[in-house]
Amino acid sequence: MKDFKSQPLEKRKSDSKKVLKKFPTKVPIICYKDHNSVLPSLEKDKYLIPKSLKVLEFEQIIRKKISLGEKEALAFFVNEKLMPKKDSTMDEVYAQNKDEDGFLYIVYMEENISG
Amino acid sequence: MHKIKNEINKAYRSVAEKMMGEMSESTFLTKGQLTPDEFVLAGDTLVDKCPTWSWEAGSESKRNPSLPDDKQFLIIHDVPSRMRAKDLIDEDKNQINEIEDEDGWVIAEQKEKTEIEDIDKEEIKKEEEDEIVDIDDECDSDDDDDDDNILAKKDDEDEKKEDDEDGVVRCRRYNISLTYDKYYATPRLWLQGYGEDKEPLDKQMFEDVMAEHAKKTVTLEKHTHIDGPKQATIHPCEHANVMKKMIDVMMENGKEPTVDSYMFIFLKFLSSVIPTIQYDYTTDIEL
Repeated sequence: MKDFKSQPLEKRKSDSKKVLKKFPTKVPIICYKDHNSVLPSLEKDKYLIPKSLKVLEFEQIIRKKISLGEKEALAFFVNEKLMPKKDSTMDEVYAQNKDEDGFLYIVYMEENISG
Repeated sequence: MHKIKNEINKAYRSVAEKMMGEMSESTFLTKGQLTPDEFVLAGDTLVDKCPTWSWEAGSESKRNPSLPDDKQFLIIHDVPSRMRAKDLIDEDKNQINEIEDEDGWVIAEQKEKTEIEDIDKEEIKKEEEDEIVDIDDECDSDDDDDDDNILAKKDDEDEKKEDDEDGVVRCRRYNISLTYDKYYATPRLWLQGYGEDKEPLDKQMFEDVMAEHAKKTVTLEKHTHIDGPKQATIHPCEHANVMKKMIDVMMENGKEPTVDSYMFIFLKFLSSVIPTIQYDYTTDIEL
């Protein structure tokens, strides 16, 4: 993600515009692992996700990508600090939290709720 | 094996609880724990902001003397659960195609969603409204999303059942309570579920727990304040650690975490264990 955000703001802005125009039913998400997390990294960090998808459904996509066992729990943080409601749509999360560059940044980490 | 370990731990804890002095010094910021007084304070804020939650006294014989008699635990009644947790990740119902474009975007596409949406839009919409009103109305919610509850729509084979005479949609319902766990010095969440026939659920409640938690951290036990059938409860051994982690993130972000917000954060992270039990009508939590 560091790589992604190190691109100039103007470039990112025009990229997000372009991709939103091309895919009007999707939200552009940059998803990566939190620096403290011990989980595997994602191979790709750029995702176009249907607006109507729930946070929980997006979570399932990511779970599969990092081959998370069904006994392990995953936590999402939008902009590294906000826990989105699991039943919010990606569109809602995007509308409320998108970056000035037009992308939505989500980090993931393990969630060790249980013993 | 887990079960035996659990039992031994339980016995140990009940002895330890008796021997331990009351916690009085606040370890909220350092350990993510609550003193009994802080539990009451955090609970008061929850009840204040979300009046669907209330305090209860519970069984007199089970009273915790370090809490006020009328504030032994928190409870919310009749929280709807329209689908089972496994259906959230049911491959057939949630099929998602992925393709990659030349710019390196992973493009996710949902299959056959629209069809179902059209058929039952009206009916489901009505149900949605009926449902949400009782929970949501008084709760400080700024996003009454009465529109796309896709998961509920997709699950409409189960949804098509007749309404009761009183017009209440039939689905599983849960009474959720939060007690104070003396040993871990955190709240502890309990679930008492009722089926569509209004009969109490027992093992079926595990169907509403995400697989990664079912039976490992969620067990059926006697409620610490309510007589009656065993309830499902989420084991609190990691709660303080998770809360501590959240508190650290808040502080890193220049926020001052307060005991007031404890229950909201707590309920938020536990909603990932029981995502289909829809009590999560509080707003997004900003850490």
